[in-house]
Amino acid sequence: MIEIKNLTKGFGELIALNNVSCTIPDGCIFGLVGANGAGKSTLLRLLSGIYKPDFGSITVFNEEVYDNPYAKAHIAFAPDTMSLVNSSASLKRMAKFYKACYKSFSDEKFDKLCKMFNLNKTKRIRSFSKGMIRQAQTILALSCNADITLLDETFDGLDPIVRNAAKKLIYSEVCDRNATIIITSHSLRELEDTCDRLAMLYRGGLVFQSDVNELKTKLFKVQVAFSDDCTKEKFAGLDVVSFTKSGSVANLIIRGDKDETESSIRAMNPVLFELLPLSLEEVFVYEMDSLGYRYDEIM
Amino acid sequence: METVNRKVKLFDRAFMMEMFRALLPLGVVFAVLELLGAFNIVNLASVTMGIQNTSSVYSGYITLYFALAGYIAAAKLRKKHFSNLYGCIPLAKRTIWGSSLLAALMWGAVVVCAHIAGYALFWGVIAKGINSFSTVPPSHYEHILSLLRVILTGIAAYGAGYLFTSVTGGTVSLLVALFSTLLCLSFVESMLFTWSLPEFSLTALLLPVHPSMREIIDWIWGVLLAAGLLIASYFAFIRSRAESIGKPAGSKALHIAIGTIIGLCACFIASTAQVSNLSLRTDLNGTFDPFSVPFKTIIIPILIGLIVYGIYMCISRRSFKNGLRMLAFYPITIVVFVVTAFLSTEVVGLDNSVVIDFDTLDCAFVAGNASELFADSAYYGYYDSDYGFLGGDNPLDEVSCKGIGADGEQYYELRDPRLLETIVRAYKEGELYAYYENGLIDAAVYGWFGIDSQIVVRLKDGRHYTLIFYPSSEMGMKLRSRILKDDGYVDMATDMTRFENAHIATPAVFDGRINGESLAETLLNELRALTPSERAKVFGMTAGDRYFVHYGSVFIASPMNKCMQLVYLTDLTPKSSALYMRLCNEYEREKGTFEYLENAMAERKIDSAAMTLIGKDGSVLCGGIYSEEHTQRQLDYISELLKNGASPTESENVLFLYDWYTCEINHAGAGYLISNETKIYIGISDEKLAEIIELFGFYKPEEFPPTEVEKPDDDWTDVFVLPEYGINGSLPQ
Repeated sequence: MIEIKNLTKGFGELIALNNVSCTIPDGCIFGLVGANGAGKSTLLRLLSGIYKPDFGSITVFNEEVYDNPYAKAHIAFAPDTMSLVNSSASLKRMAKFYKACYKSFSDEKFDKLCKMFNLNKTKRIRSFSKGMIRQAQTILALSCNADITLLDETFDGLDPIVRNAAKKLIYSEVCDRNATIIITSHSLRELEDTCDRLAMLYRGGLVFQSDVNELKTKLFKVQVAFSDDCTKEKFAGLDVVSFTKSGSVANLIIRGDKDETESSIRAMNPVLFELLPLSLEEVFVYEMDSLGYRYDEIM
Repeated sequence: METVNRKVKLFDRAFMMEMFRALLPLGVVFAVLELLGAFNIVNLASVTMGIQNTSSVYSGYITLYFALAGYIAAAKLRKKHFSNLYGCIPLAKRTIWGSSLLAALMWGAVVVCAHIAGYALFWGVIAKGINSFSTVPPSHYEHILSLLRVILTGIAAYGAGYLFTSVTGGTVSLLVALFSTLLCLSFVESMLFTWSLPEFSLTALLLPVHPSMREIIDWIWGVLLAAGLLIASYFAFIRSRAESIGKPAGSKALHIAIGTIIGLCACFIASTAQVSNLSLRTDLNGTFDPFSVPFKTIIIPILIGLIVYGIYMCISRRSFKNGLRMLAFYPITIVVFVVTAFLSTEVVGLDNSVVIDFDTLDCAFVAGNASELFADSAYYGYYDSDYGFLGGDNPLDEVSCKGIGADGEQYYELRDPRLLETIVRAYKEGELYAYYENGLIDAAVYGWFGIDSQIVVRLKDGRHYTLIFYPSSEMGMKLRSRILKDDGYVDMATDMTRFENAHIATPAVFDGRINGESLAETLLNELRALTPSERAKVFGMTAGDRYFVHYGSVFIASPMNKCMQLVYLTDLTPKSSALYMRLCNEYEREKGTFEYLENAMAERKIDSAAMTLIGKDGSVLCGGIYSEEHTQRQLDYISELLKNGASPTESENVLFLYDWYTCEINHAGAGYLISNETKIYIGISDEKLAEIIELFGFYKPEEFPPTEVEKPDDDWTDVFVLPEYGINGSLPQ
């Protein structure tokens, strides 16, 4: 389990992370979303032990991460820019280095992944395209078989086919080994169908985090119409996040249990009743709105 | 949260091999350089001053290798394109540090082995074909010590490289800081390890130990310095953060410290002395100038330091405005520099205001080693002596000369009241300059203090002053002659017990190749049989006996080259002189010089020559031949003598041809006179002696003072040059 408590990190006058607290359970795919400069990469670098927190703590299996080889042995990191052992390193060379550092590194898995992504192991990594470098980084991180894998904007720049393949890999990691995967992206759509939990960073602060299923099921849209006029007060018994009217049709965004909500509204004898799911983005828009943020400003 | 304490290892084999691979290009390049350097093929100036080097085997690359290895190893976490990788792998920083050090040491061992291989190859194979060396190589023992010293300095440089890379981020800052640190390292080493004037020595001030302890103290200092830098690098690396990559220094204080070091180095370099020897006694030409303080030594260096500091700050802060703001901290550099300069002045300070007269003077001492008192007898490595021995090259290198005066130093109290009167008068007339000693040094241990000075006076109030003078000055000569009248002093200065099992320290001409051992044995036996005053003459200590016969000169050196002494071969050492002359002739014959001269004369290629005739009664005649048609028969005559090539014996008169000026040029043109530094001795009978005198028209040396070799005019054939040395035992004017 990863515990982040009151984490603060600054670079000179810039506060990259401000009092962030979060718990990431084992065996989950955790998505971290935020605009550029929100602090996603900084958080991952703190998690992987590259940076030291200014305040607060990050613990993995109850051990502080920074300069702790025992904690770091559980963590594999695929950063957004590839670091090589030397300028002429090949994928094979890098695998050798990782194997020396991680006892759980698997050559078979590495070979299999290279084949899957069709990457030449002996070619210089510097000659790869941007997308191929991302793939290479992901392959190396996953081959480490670490309990926690950190993927920084891994899906960005990948073509749809490769992206799907990567997602499948991530699923199998979680299912087969109960690994924890943390993925960052500035696109919710990328993470929507992959992650179990999502958190949103904004200007160094964690503004929102929730289980994805819970998000999708607990917030939904209702279109309803009555023979007589209706106002928001009619639905006082429900947790209405948003109420808009278009003619006689009222559009409500309601947080709560779907079945209970449906029962309550049907009891009012509506002329029209339709319950519609929301996209994750829409859920975020309304959640942010309720917290006082404008989603389009954040993203 | 429960904190788990686990042992974190210092080395990781896999990472160490990774670092070993990373240092491969560096290790290979420096191993090759060391191998070639041992052949003396690569004789490049060292990047930093003061790096240890042995005479014919250059080991400065070892230090540079280690410094760069430290930089490369620490850069693994301090460069942006590496930081992600090495920051997230499950290795503790101390493991990275320890593994890096081990990898660097492994390659260092390879470089050292390459050096040893080159050294062995050089002496085992190549040196056998060499007839002469321009410098005298040190003994193997000295070489090993020198190598160990270089390795120790290298480890200190590694620590410095690692330390600076850990605290700085910008490449410009790092390289400049690293270079400055190596220079400062050299300066600190000099401060700590140097025992003799005019260098400032902190160790000599703090630890007035016996000379025999000095080397041990030097080693202890060296180990402490290396260990200190390694430990500092460890903690700096552990505390370093990836967040500060790219910044000039991890903190503002560090940035200022780095700038201060750089400014300080600039100050030292610009001071009137070399960077490693802060001396207030000489100007840039090495001439003593007591009034050079403080302008050249203090003010100019501070200004230059300011400029360098300012440039560094502007570059590293990436802004002219920000760089200028940092100038506010420059006074720290000034304070450190001035304190160092004045501490140096304090210890060896010039103080001509002190009153030295019969009322204040208690007693005077002089150093026992004659070589120190009489500069003409001393060789200090690369400084030319007043004489050109065996061809004008320095027969001794820096390592060999280090031994002069360092061991067996004794101080002798001068009691002659006339001598004391001379000293007092000389001081009053400004011919002696007084440097005062630190008042903490007790008179009883003064003799161990390690200052190789000439005369030291003790005043009645307990203060000591060192009196400096030019030995070749009139005062110097006067003082010297007076001191030499003191039997006790002469006994001590000519003590032969220092030279048990001594060898001849000369170029390889006599280095065991042409029976040089027999010359050493013969000479030592003859020297032991002489009286002290006679030995003083052959040691070149006497100012009198202007025209005694001098066949040549050699250095005798104690087994470890700790003590050296110049010895003139004269009629006082007849057997050694005769043997020396025979060895010279054998050597010249082997080189083919006899045959060459004969051929050159027959082909009329030689136009002038110089020669000296020494009668068995000790009379000396100098002469020469120069290009006129009628003198060709003189050349034919000499050619005949050369064909006979008889070696001189004790009973024969000696004609020796030396400083042949041979030029294969035509008579019409101008040219330079070139000495081929050949001495050819020919034994001649009384009959031949008369014949030669008549033929060549010799003159007596006292009729013509020695002159320097001058560049000839257009008609060089009219130039006739006397040798500037060799005939008499007096100092040249």
